[in-house]
Amino acid sequence: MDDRTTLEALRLDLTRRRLLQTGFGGVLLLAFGAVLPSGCARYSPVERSLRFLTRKEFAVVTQAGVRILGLPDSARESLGGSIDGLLVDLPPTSQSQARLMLRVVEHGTILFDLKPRRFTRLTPVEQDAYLRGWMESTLGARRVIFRALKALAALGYYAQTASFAEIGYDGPWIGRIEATGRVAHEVPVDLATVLAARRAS
Amino acid sequence: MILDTGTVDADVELRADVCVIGSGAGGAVAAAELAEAGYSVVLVEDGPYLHGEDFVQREEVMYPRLYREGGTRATADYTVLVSQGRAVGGSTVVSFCLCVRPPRPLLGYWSRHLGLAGLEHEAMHPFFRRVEKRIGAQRILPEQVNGNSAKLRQGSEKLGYRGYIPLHNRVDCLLTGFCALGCTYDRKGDMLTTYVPAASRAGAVIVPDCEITQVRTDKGRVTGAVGVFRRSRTGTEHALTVTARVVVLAAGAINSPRIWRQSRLPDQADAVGRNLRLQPQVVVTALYPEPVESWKGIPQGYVVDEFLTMGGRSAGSGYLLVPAFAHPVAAASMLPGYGDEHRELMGLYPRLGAIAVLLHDHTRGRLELEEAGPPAVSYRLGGSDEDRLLDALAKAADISFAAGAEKVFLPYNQMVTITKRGAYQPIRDRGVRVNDPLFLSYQPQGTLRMGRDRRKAVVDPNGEAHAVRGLFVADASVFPTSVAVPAQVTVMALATRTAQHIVDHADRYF
Ligand SMILES: Cc1cc2nc3c(=O)[nH]c(=O)nc-3n(C[C@H](O)[C@H](O)[C@H](O)COP(=O)(O)OP(=O)(O)OC[C@H]3O[C@@H](n4cnc5c(N)ncnc54)[C@H](O)[C@@H]3O)c2cc1C
Repeated sequence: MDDRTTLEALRLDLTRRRLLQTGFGGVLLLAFGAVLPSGCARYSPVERSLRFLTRKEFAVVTQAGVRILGLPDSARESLGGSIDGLLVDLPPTSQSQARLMLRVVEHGTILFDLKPRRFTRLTPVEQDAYLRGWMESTLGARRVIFRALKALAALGYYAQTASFAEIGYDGPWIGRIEATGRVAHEVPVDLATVLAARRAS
Repeated sequence: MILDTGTVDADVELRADVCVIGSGAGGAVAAAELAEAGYSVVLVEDGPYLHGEDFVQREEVMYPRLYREGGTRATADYTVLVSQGRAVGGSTVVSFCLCVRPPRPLLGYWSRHLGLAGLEHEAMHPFFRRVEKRIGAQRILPEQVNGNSAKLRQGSEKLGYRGYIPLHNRVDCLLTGFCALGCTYDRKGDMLTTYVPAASRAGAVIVPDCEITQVRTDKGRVTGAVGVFRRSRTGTEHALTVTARVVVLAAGAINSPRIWRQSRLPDQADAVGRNLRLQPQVVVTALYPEPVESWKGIPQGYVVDEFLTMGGRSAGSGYLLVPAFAHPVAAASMLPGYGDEHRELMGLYPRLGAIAVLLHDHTRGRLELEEAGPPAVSYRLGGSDEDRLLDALAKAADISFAAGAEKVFLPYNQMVTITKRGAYQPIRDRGVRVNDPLFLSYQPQGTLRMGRDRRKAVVDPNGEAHAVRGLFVADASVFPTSVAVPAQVTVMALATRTAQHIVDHADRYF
């Protein structure tokens, strides 16, 4: 995948303007996100080397991912690795939006549940209640963030070949069938040839 | 010929009779028709030139490669996910190949009541015929109707609803079911295998990986277009300048108005970017006792048109019901529920079937167009559309039960399950709110609408801009109302007609 296309993958695109359009909730979330701490001293180290996510973000996205998709805790490592690989090539604006989203989820416990502990410090049962709160919220902006998290988790998990068998999906057919009668697609030509042809015509 | 943009190492200037912007259903057709009529054509496409085994049948690779904004383009409040292709061949490369002409009464309404003479069915018939022949549209065989489509057929026949096996532009389909990720085996009659090569054979130059940013004009006449290469040998963004006497804008219903605005073209009618119709879809999922393996085979092999009501004096109303399904990533992000219940549902993947409601919408959205950055899409479903949609959810559930479903899952964030036919109160209770349910749109349209009156419309009935001589629009932007059915053949037929008009009136332009 080349850079430009990869970076478009999963463009969460929670731009200021768009989030604001989801109403007052959007304004509130943005203002809140801006004042949140971003350090990760208190997060356990991650086994794999990360290309985009910080330890803190890895913890948030993987804990949320396994809760939302109902996966065992053991799936966290591969889920996080896969999401990290997808986010690394996003354009800087989208990357900062993704970071903001994860920060808001991590610290939103204070705002929405009046809990002194952040998301990653909650028990699994508390995490479920908290994330369900986002899914069912009356604030459009919170539901949007929930959807974005779910889509990110789905992409991180169900794109892995290892997950196919568990849902009875047989995966790509490439290499499994013989296809005859293919079109002979034109081979692109270099610029000099195009310019010469244009001049000649 | 197709330019290998990896060899571009400087700014490029090209001269042609016609510059076509966008190589999808509208642009590719216009380019081929004009090139075959003997005009020199440059066809510029923002997306890459991909084909055959570039389509690797994996979602995480193909969504970002083939879809605009990686498949995440959405309305401003995230209620509707707007899918458009971004590649040589445009959205037709990812289409499900369903070929449906607009209802006859709708064309009658456009022609008689909206002043679009020449768009009535009889007059359009030759254009549809021509297009259908060139893209290989034919009725799929009953044995090609896949498990999911068969359920829609079975349920609706049982309830006495009108439906049919549709035409598809696919030839010797291998039934792998990866249509939405591009056809690895070239079995689609998409623009990539039909009109684009035809344009090239007739001498057109096809320029992929190049985003047109501006249409140029001088004293009310179009003079060409400029763009920027997204890929080059030097790694920098070189400019493309095309000098042309005719420009055909066919960048799709969101990007064409964007280019219009970036170019500061006149908007006397204050209509650019308005009148947006999305034909929004929602999907009702059903659990069957036996495997239906909905991801395999032809995705949309049956159409129920019982609930589309057409009358000659209005644009009509209602919806189509078509089969719908998705590969695991898209299915997992769209299926309702949380945690274990979501995982359980995914575990039932082979037994799931789904019906999409395709709404013939009256809601008018609009694009917020700024000179820089992608447009924000504003669209909030109006009252009568909302009522129809809620009715449609119940009808889709009804059909699923009639086809033997054990349970039906509604398209909300939360898991809302219906276990008994007729127990549809949850639909009324929940209604429609921002981002819940999630809608999909595969056919944005109407944002540079066609009309005789220059005070109300952007282009005239031939697709030519009221305010700029030689500038034509030939994509889904021109529809005056929702077209009620999947849009590809209508876009192609209108583009053929526009090309014909240019050829017939060549002395005005060349
Ligand atoms: C997943 C999917 C499935 C579909 N299935 C069906 C179906 O089964 N049947 C049916 O009838 N319809 C279907 N449709 C809809 C149909 O494909 C569209 O209605 C139709 O292609 C619209 O034609 P268009 O020319 O307006 O735009 P498009 O076909 O989208 O073409 C626009 C082209 O312009 C290019 N472009 C955009 N901006 C620029 C720029 N600045 N410079 C240069 N190029 C630019 C784009 O990359 C794109 O290639 C489907 C659509 C999708 C997304």
